[in-house]
Amino acid sequence: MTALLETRNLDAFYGDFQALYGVDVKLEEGQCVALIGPNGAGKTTLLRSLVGWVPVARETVLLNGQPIGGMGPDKIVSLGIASVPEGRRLFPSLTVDENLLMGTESGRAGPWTLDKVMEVFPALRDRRRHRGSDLSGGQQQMVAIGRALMSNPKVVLFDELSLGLAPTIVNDIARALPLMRDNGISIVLVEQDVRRALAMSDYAYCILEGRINLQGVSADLAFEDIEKAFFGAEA
Amino acid sequence: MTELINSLAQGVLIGGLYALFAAGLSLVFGIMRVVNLAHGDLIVTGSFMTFATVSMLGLPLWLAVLIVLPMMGLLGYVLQRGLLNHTIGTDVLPPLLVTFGISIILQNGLLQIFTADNRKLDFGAIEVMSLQMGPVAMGWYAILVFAVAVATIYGLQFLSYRTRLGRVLRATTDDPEVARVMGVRTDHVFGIAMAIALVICGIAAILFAAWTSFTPLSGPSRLLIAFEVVVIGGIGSIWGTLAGGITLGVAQALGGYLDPAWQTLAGHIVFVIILALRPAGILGGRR
Repeated sequence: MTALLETRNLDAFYGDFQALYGVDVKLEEGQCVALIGPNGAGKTTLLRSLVGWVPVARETVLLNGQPIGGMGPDKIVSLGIASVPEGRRLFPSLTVDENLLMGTESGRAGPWTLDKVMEVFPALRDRRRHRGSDLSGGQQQMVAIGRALMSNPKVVLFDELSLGLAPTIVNDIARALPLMRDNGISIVLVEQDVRRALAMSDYAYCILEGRINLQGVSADLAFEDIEKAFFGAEA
Repeated sequence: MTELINSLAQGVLIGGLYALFAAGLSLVFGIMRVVNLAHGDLIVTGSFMTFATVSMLGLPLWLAVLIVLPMMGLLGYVLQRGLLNHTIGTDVLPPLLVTFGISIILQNGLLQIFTADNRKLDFGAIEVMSLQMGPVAMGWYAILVFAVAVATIYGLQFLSYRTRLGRVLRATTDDPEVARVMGVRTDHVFGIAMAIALVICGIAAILFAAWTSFTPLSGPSRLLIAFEVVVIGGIGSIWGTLAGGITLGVAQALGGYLDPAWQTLAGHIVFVIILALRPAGILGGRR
């Protein structure tokens, strides 16, 4: 069976600097996969390769078995891979509604509408005419997620979901994830907070220095193995 | 006193035209971060297109408008997609050099085709008719130009804030990288933005062709006006271009009232004062 989204022997470069070495990861339909690892290990680069921000060889990224590596980001989102970028990156001069509507630029048909996003995040209801830059960090993250949903994706890539947010707010936002999976959306999660990442995901990959050095079913991964993986010891 | 009021009124009205010069420049800078050094020459090119269709081919003005504006839009789209998109990147120098080159090509191309003679369009009786309000007389043509300018600026504002294209344009201005991840084909959007900018240039070019005479070398002075208006009004502010245009127009009129030789200088002085006191411009920082 082909995975929904996978990388095969993926190398990625920033100029002369190689950031990823032969990375193989797999996301099955309906799954939530976490990418963990220390800062600068290559988690974000891997995500950026999937989004189309980092140029990679065509056959190293496959969506339903079809090669999509190195396609432009606008093409990739139209195939159903949406992203929630690190730092939210809302359009500051657009209102909440306008930010959400930017998701529809993917041109994909599907169930997501402004009203449905408001059902998932009721906190946005009375903020719809506010600028993105006027919102709290948690509300901005909700808009960023809503914006990704509005593109009617098959896969959503989260980069640092909890970074810079208070734990209670992260809990509010994390409630959206099971709901997304009920709607048939698969998830890739890059996360600093390892315990949270394991709790939210089905399967996890640990990346160190551009290579996968530990992987397994999230519930079965022992914490000391992860600790060793983080510091480069043999797992 | 009457003469002063007349000068001021004239300054306000020509300010509308200056706003049109600036609106396209501001739009292109806002979205593509490109300072288009050929902006003035593209306006003059539009004026010569109008001259060619009206004075050389003998077509009626309304038909010239219907020919020149779409041609300017097409020229903008092709220029952006075919050339300028390849110069955009982290380095600000390539677009400057390329648009400077376009400026030289346009000036010399126009010289070859139309010679260095002074040209002016004749719109007939409207140019000499005036509206008498007490002691103040305002030319109907100047009023028409101002009305068209305000309508154009309003149209641009409407496009930006009430349409899907406007939302995409503003999002691309904010963050082109994320706009692309949303599915926006930014190359195409840049082309559309340049097309809109050159249609506005075309409107200004047609109006200006009858306001005063022009030669193939008039471009740089138009560019200078556009620059000053954008800085005075505030970068990224649509109504700011109108405020900036009127400010510059009034400053020039006041200078000209005191001494005809001061007309241009007064405009530059006001520009420098505002740049020193309010670097973000009159309406800068707001949108």
